[in-house]
Amino acid sequence: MPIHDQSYRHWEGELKSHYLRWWVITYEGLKVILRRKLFIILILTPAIIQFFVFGGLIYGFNTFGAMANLNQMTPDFFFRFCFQQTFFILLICVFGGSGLIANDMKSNALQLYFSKPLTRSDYIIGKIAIIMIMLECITAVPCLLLFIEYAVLSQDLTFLRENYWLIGSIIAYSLVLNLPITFLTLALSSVTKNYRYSAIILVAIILGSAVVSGLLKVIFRSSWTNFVMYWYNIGIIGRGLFGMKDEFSEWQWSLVIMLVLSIICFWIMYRKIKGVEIVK
Amino acid sequence: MIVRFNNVSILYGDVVALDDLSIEINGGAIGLLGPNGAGKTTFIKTILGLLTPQNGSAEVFGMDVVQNKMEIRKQIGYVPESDCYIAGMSGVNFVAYMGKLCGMPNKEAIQRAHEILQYVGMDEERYRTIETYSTGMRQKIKLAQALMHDPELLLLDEPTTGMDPKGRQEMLDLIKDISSSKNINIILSSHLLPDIEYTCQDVIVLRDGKLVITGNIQELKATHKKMYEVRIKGNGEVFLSTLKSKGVELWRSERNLFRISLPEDIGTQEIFKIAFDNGIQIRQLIQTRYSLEDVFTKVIEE
Repeated sequence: MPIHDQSYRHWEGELKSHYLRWWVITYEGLKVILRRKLFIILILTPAIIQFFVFGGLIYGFNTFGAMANLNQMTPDFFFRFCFQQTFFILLICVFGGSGLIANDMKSNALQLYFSKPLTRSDYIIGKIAIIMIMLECITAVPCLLLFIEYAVLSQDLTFLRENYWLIGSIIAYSLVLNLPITFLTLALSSVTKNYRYSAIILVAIILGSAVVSGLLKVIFRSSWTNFVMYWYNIGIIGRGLFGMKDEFSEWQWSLVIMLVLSIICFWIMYRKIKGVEIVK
Repeated sequence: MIVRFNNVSILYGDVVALDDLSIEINGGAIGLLGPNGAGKTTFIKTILGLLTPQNGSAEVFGMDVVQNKMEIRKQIGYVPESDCYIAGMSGVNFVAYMGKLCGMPNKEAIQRAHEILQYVGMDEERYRTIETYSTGMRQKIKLAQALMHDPELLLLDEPTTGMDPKGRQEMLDLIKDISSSKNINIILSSHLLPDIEYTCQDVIVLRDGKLVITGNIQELKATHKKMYEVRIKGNGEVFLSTLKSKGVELWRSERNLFRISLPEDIGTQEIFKIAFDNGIQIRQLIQTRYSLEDVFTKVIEE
């Protein structure tokens, strides 16, 4: 009898409950993405630098009180921070999200996933959470930290008393910024086995929508053509959520457009993700 | 009873993959045989709950495959036929990840991943990303991930595909060890009859989604006892036609070498007599056993 049997041994532990099974996918997915140094250096770091710039502005305003254009801290400041992150949101989706399902399909990993006690919903939620966590880390989390910074540096509680609702606006807007593009990224990732194609199509849709909107505007001479533009819709929903009801008063329409887009993307994703590929 | 299929039919559009299949599997090592398109992979995927029967019902460990697929999968390990892995992961991380997906705690999954990889014979390679693995290593890593959560039933779909002879033998030895010493039931689907013969006690033969034959391999081979190899000298055409007329089945191996299967009422003395009557010398008459290939060919032809 050997001291330690290195042959196969039966495992007598207990399997964990199914409740948070999706988190395993999220955690491992994040580990794989964050192991890429170029991704961290070129995309995540610049996105976080923006937070320090805005943080510095708040500090400067409170400490020196000399920045004329920041004399009144308005909701616009927080909206602008979130909206300026859209460039990095797109980069994260292109370089971090477009391969999430496409790579699994390319390497036939779906049948491995679904041979385990894992549902399609677990898989989809796990993948959504990978992108959402990265995106929330450059939108909602730093924006809330900026809000806290301003509240802490304020002389009294006036700012907090008058603007507490901004916490809800920041969270809601980060979801508006991040959820539709996450769904779009994963839907495109699920229709091809090549992540490059899904990345190119994603960029084409987001940037191309502005071009199409411009062309339609020339043809129809109507401001309604703006609704074709992806970031326009995101922008005016943000203005609505942050209480900036200027010329963009139809933010509800944009919300409906984003909702429909998200539902379609989710439906595509749900249909394409299967444990068995049937070739007819 | 580990698997029970009651009149199960599975259709892909107009194509019938499983046709009113009824079968019971009690456990042990079972080989799944059949020509391409026989329904072997469909059979395995139905056990996993990846496919829903259009007709009939299927049970695994007494649980319905449609209603209890999560519970069933906890007790099943699956080695798919196609090459599959998670891109960007090292071997050990991949195997541990598969364990965690089954619900194993993080620490235990990593520890067991190392143990299992050692068991399947992957020592140093475990730290390399799977993309850099050879076909043989990928087959072994698929086996390792299937064993992670210590399943009661292991489903192996063509596990030796693309392996060199040494790797194939190692894989077969592992499968044999798993089924014989580790008390894990296996269902092995393969085109390679020697693989099934080496590792399994029982066999299921499917054709066009229907069950053709099932039973113990040794018993199936023993049902055809009167098989001989005959070498003759001389012009054997008349001799052979006489044998055929008496109900003897024969297959020519070489010009003067034949395999013959005798009916119940004919003995070897009769063969010598016919040869003598036709002026033929019998240089060799050896009783041979039916191989699994003979059984398989026979039932498929029928």
